[in-house]
Order: sequence, then structure tokens, then C-alpha cells
Amino acid sequence: MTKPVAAKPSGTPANDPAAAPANSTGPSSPPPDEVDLVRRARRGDLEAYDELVRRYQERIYATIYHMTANHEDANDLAQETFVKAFRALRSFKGGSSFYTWLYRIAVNKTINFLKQRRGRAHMSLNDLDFNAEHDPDLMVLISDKTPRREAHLAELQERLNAAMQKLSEVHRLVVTLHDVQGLPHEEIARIMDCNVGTVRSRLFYARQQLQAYLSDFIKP
Amino acid sequence: MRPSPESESFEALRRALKLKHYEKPPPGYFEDFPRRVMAQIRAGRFAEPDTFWERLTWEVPWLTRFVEALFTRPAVAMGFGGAVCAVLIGGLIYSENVAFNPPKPVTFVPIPEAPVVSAPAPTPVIPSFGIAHQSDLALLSPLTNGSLNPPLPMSGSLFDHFRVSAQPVGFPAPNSAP
Repeated sequence: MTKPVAAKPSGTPANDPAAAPANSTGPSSPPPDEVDLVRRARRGDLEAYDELVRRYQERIYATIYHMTANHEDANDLAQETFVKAFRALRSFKGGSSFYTWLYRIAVNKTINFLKQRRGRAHMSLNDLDFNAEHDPDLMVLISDKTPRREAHLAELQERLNAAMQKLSEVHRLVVTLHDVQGLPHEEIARIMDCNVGTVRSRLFYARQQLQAYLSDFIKP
Repeated sequence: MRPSPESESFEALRRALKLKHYEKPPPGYFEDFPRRVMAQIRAGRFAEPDTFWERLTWEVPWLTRFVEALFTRPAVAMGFGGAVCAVLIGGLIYSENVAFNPPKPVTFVPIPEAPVVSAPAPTPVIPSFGIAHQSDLALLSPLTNGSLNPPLPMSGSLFDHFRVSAQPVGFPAPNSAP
């Protein structure tokens, strides 16, 4: 089953609203009933699979959304991921956790989609939660641009997504999984089927690139 | 030496990326999502097989990595090209050094007939099929394990056996006049 991951990812904010559910039912500590749910779903029990979908839908959707910067595409790909996973459950040998296996399906689908879409990308961004205006970390970035906080946050959102779209798929994926979703390097390595050193070097390169693209917005 | 991702300060970037945590899909989206997935599973949608490339990336991940490396790393492409050339040249050299041994022709070995014990039994009538030359028999040999027992007699026509000799029939002519 899943290897225990001791290290907490660096840079994961303690009050991170997106990372919170990932940590509560994270890939490193699957709930004890997950194995049973997977076993039942493999036998065709749709109720069990419905429970698995509810458990992982937000993280799968978010990963795809941050990769595509398009809600409609993310919606389609997330649904396809869960449908494909259900069809392929018989081939799931349990060598990794169900979560990692599901993530790999989502990642492969998304990267294939992005390769086909290359050059025809357009962003369709989700709205920002109103709590963003009160986040102290974000206030630091736009403090000198008050009082039009909302407009500046929207501008930052667009610039940030545009910068991420300039990264290659694998670099965008590493930033998404680590810096946005808060997954540890080891888990990312398992999902991407590469070693931890590769994950670290890709993350470093991607951050450098992003920082350069956003240099006028953020001061290192 | 390259610094690790943690050692270099990306604090401002980390703060900016935090904004992405606040991007939320429309309200109620996740309440409805499982129902849509289940409806698609029940309806059998997406039942069409994946594309060849999708199956390949999923089932043979090392192959896709190798193909990507071919396009992105010149050293890998050169190495692979060199290996293919070496195999081709090696194959050519090997084929020139090996003597050509044509396959032996199939020989026709007639099985000896059984000895005649006493008065010859009435032999069954075997129609001849007009095999004119020994080479024709050689053609049959792969099918008949190289032997025919008894060997077919040589003749000229398929209908020799049924040739009927015509004899004139004389009918006495009736007296012409009483």
C-alpha cells in the first residue's frame, strides 16, 4: 500500500484552504475503508465508487483546472478521468494507492489534452473566493495598490495563470502539485513516474521561470 | 552546484501562488459532479476505446518517455540512430559472410510393390489421369509425402480407359422385290 510520507511539503501554508482537505485525507494516509471501497467498486458497486468520487473530486478537478486554466476543459477532463478510472479498476493492481493511481490517470489525460490543444489555449478562469481579499499574504503583494483590491487581485490572477501557461506541461504540473496542492516531492515522483531529484530540479526551474514572468508584480 | 528549491527564496512567488487556492468553481459544482459521473458510467458513455497514444502512455510509460527523449535530447537521438545503423551494417556484413545453401530438391522415392504370391487377384481399375511426365509427379510429392502407391501408369489422355472400338454392324437388307 501507500508508503508513509514523513516530510511535510515546504511552502504549504498552514491556513491554506485548498491544502487543508488534501492533508486531512491525504494520499499518505488513506482512510481504512478506502481499500474496501475500491474492492467493492471493482465488483461494480456504484455506490462505493460514488463515495470515492466524492472523496477525490475536488483535488482531481483542481489539478486539472490549474493545468488548463479553463473551467470547462477541467470539468470535462475530470469527468473523463473518473469514468476511465471506473472502467480500468480491474487493471488496478494495488501497487500504489488508489489516490496515486487516479492522479496518474488525470495527469496523463491532461497532458495529452494540452499537447493536442497547444497553440489554441484560452483561459476561462474561476471566480476568486471573497476570502482572498483578506488573506495577509496576498495583501502584501497588492498593499500599495489599495483601495482597488478586488481589481488588482483579478489582474494578479490573470497574470499568474498566463505565466503558468507559459511553462511546459511537466513544469506546470510540478508547480501545481507541490506549490498549489501541497503534495510532497515523493508523492509527486510516484505520480509522474520519475525520481525525487527530477521533481526537485523541475520545481526549481519552474519557480525561476515563473518568478521571471511575474517580475514586475512580485519582488523576490 | 545548483541550490535546492528550498534554499533559494521564492517567498514572493509562494504568496502569489496562494491566490490560486481561492479560485473556486461555481457554487454547487461539487454537489452535482458525482451525479454526472455516475450518469455517464450508467449510460456507458466514453465506452469507445482510447486512442492508441493514450493506451501507450498509460500502459507503456517508459516508451513515451523514450520517444520524448528522442525529440528533446540530441544525445539520445544520436545514440539511438547509431545503434540502428550498427545493427543494419552488422546485418549486411553477416549476410555477406554466410554461404548460400540452396534447399535440396525433393526426390521422388517410389515405394516397392508388394510381391505377388500366387494367381494375381483382379486388380481394381485405376483410371489414369494423364500425367505425362515424371516432373508432374514431383509436383505432387509434397502433398503425397513424395510417394505414390501404386505409381500411376503413363498415358496420353484422360479418356484412354473408356475408349470404345467401333465395329460395323451389318443388317441384312430386305429383298427388294417379291
